[in-house]
Amino acid sequence: MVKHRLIAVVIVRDGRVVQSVKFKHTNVIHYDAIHAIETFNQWSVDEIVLLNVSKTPESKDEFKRILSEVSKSCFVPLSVGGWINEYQYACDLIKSGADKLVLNTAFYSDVELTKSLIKKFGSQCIVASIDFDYVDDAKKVFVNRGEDCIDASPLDWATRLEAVGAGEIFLNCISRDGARKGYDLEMIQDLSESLTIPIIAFGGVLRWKHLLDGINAGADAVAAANIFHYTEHAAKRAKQYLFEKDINIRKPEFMN
Amino acid sequence: MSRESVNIAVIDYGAGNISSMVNSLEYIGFKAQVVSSATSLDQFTHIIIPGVGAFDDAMDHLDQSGLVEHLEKAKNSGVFILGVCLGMQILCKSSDEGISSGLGWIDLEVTNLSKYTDVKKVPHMGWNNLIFDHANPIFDGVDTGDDVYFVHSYGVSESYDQLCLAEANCGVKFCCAVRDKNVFGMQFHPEKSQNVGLKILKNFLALKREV
Repeated sequence: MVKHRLIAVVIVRDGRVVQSVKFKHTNVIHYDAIHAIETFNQWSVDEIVLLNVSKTPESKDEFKRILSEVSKSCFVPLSVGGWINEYQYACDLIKSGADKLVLNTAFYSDVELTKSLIKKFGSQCIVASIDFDYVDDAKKVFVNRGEDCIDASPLDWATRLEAVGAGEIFLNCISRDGARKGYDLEMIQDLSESLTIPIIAFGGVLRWKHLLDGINAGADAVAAANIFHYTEHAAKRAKQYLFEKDINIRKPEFMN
Repeated sequence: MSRESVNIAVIDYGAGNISSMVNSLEYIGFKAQVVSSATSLDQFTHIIIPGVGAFDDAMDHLDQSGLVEHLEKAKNSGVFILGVCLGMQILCKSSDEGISSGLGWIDLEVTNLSKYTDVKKVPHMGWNNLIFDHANPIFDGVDTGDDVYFVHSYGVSESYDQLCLAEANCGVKFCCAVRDKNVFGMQFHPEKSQNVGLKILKNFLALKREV
């Protein structure tokens, strides 16, 4: 049967790989995104997500250039997002080597764009990213890189995006981002019980056990960013851990 | 076989992400030529047909490209042809996904996987095991149980015993690698299946025409 996936997320701001903590990016980790991805590709991650979190759309061309470089040596699926607000730019990203597009704000501000991309590339190519956080104890969805709250619960929003034709949900909790406390398990569980499309859990992983918790809560795939940069051979060790816990996951091995 | 004597075409008919395929070939040391308009394919030893999207769209695009007769000629002259993902499906006779006929070079039909109650999630997306009993040059250095990357909603799930090289199981067993003489199909993405996939691509490119 199809396996759970371990996903490395590479967050890029103005061309540099940064650490993300509650959607703030003060720490530059690698100056060179290409080198970071080459490393991940050689490890046993099952998929790579490359996100452009730059504050301005002027970053789009540089990001596309980085993508076309990294895709030359990336032989696992590569999902790409950030500032996809035009049809042509989305097509350019695919041409530059993206296997899937990660869309977030577009589902709110330009749903026709998301529909035309789904029609062109198929649902399996469209990952719907949902950022949520607590507002007066209620979980609410945020768009525009976590800046604007929209009046929707993550579950309602995810259900809607599934109906529009999203192929997967990439779920991130803003206050858990970089907070090292693990995923929001309750949210993962709610979503996975209600949706039929795969859920990718993201945000807050410090220990390997957090990955296991995410899978046990119902996530199809578990993603992390910072730990892959700061722990040596993190992907392989994370895989080893999950493998030993009898999780159905691709064998940990290095690329030759 | 020396790399100089391998001449690869990757068919770009507007229904597929060809950059991943071209990048992976380059990484293992082969320079492929991307062919997108009607032109003779005589000089090639290996032709790869990628494909993502919908069956009818892909067949329309392929018809419009004017490449079908050239592909047919290449196939009949013994050029090794590999269809990947939707590229495998259009080699078959027909698909539940559309009303167009496929190329029909592989005498099989493509089925909607969601019609099986045992298939819980469609699309079948992610890493899954290759299952095969018999050694085959295309799987040289690859073991049954090795993982490859899939993303598809349709597949060859019926009456495939004769031509099947490997199966996979997404709730129902289906044929994920097929061969009829010089024509090969792979439902998984070798270009996105890391070591295992690159090995399979190398094996395909090592196939030599019997003279």
